[in-house]
Amino acid sequence: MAARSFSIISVDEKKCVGCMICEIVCSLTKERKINPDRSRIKVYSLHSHLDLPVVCRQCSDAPCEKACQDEAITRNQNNAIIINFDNCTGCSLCVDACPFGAIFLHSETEVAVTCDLCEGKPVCVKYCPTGSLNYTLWDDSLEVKRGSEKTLYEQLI
Amino acid sequence: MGGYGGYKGKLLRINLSSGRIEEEKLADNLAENYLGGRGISSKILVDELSANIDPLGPENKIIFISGPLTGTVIPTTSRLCISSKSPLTNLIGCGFCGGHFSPELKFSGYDGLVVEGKSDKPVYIWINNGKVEIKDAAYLWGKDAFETEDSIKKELQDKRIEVVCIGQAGENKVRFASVVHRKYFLVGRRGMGAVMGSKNLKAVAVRGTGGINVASGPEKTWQVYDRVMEIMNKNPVVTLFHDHGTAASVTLVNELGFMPTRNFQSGVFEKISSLDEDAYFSLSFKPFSCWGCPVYCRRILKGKKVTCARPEHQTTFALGSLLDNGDTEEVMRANLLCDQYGLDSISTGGSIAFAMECYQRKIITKDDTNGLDLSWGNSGAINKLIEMIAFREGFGDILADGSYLAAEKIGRDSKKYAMQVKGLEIPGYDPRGAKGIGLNYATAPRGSDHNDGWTIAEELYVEGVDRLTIEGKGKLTKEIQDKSKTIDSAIFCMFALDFGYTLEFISTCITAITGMKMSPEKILEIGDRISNLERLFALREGFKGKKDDVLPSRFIQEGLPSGASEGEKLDLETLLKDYYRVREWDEEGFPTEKKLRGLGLEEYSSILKYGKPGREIGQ
Repeated sequence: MAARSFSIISVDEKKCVGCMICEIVCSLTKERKINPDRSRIKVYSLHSHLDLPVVCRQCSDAPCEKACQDEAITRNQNNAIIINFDNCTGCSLCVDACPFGAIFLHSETEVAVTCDLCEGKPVCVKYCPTGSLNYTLWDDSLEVKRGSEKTLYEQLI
Repeated sequence: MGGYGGYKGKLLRINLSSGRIEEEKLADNLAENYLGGRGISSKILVDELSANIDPLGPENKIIFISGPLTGTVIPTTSRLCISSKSPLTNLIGCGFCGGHFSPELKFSGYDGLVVEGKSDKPVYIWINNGKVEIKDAAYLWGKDAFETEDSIKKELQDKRIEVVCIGQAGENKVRFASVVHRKYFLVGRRGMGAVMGSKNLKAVAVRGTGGINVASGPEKTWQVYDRVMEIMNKNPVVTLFHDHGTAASVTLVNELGFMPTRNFQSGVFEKISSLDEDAYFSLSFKPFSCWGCPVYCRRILKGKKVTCARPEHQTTFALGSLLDNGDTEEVMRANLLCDQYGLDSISTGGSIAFAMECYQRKIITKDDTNGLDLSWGNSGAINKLIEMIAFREGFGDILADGSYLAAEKIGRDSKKYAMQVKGLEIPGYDPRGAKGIGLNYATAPRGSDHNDGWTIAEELYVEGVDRLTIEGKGKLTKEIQDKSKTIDSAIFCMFALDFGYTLEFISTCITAITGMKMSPEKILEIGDRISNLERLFALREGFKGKKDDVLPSRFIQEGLPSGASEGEKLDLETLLKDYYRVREWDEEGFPTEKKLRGLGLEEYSSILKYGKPGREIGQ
């Protein structure tokens, strides 16, 4: 599928230990200070000590892109979702449309923000100490391979 | 608060008697002289508490506080300090836990909170981005620490809320009840959970979305961060901790013959192979981490019967070798029970070991123990006794006051089997096998706490330091005690030093984040100040200097019976003399007025007359 030969941040949640370093370095990069609430990648606690990093999957057929009424969502050369801040009205339609919860409104500017893959060199991937985050071609990503494997949650409970 | 970075500059003060909630500024000079965490909380307790108050009465205060580095990019700084007058020792009772609470507290807008008074019904405190509520906790009362945290997150409908809470042990004011966070992070020692219970305070929940401003710009911050990562990535201790946590030292300490066994009657545990790092590692299910730490030294273990956090070295000793309990899953179960009920595993194990030795020596019998057979290693009885302690049932009620008070109640010459210093049960290194740690146990301002001056790393791993000699141990112990105070105030993880952080580098981090000019000498000076201040707190409570810097007679009179430390005893007298000299205290263990002046503590010099020989202190 030629249309999908782009890279994404692939998440192996089995390796995630919930250290939040991705949130820390993301906010330091994008906001120039530590504020996990504004990190583009978020780690949600599924169960005590089972953590799930959530980050934009750069979907080909992106619901956020479709939902936007203001032509505020475009793509850059890495195929990453880019928000045009001038066009974004903060209406939240994209936030509602994203099935992964990976796009949200910035608490200060009130426009939509999401992961832009840091110009093809995602900082979260660089500093992830566990190898839970990987920058890989979509075709090679876990997201494609994931089948009927038991989740950690199912193994524990 | 002036321009120091890292701080939020605000403390929250909540009075549970009146319901009054106030914000106050964090004064600059507090930050400069005491940094944060332990330093600032000890200063508040010395200044605001009167001498000899009841630690479980409304006049005691409990402080939850972060450090200036907490919530910043510097790894291992996510630690929370909880401090209060301890119901176990009557001393400053501060304790620490990692996890995610402390950064969240800062993101919510506060460096810390001081809780005063006592609520007339169960409540919990809910801090949501600077909005503070005292909420009803009647429905949580009686729940264990695991259920409590889950219930609060459910009630408030937000999984990103961070909670510290108590289990049943705290509610029942067990004198060594802990405060529990995310189920497996515990502020374990000295009964901070009992103080919360005495105030009818079941939990504190926080959620914050604010950021933290630091003194350096992003470029400098990245520079420091990359430097930390470089240091940590090539440090072998990081890899060791990542795999095994503190349990990594179990085998070595046993081989060197000072793994406390059967209430310190031996230093070699025969069944160690079922409690060592490999035994745990084979049950490893998944690691978990403190906020912002690339080491992630904790693990969830999944055994055939029990799923729990991997027991630390201290738990392995206290619920394992100390009780002759040599079954992996039984130690895990005891550990899990302590976490759920909210009990300190060291004091729980220490108190049970005391009872077991009394049983061995027929000082107590089944008539005293509600029919429990307290033979060494009886894991069924151990688990039952843990429950009885948490609920203060029968014989458990006696042990729930700690081994020192239990020995007073039991009488019959049992006191010499209470292995405690200043009321605090002794941690997992027999001091006969590492003299520095023995000196630390005797002199630490919180009672025998290994983290007050963890000399073990130096005594075991640094070339030129012999664990069995006493020469130079005064200086070694004093310096490590002082370093630890500053580390507890910044707040770094106690293991930062072992992960390759030097004092120079710690100074660099503090300067980069706060903008305060820091140096290794300044770190030691701040530590020295806090050590002396906490000593003054003890003197004001009636501790009599050298007369109370004692260890159980077993360590002085009985040699270790076997193993690599066979025959070793502890010459505490000589060690103390050396230590007081290095500390610039007088021979009775009192700081001199000159010393206090040098540290800017002259306002407290009137305390020096307390506890002086010849003066009786009224309780």
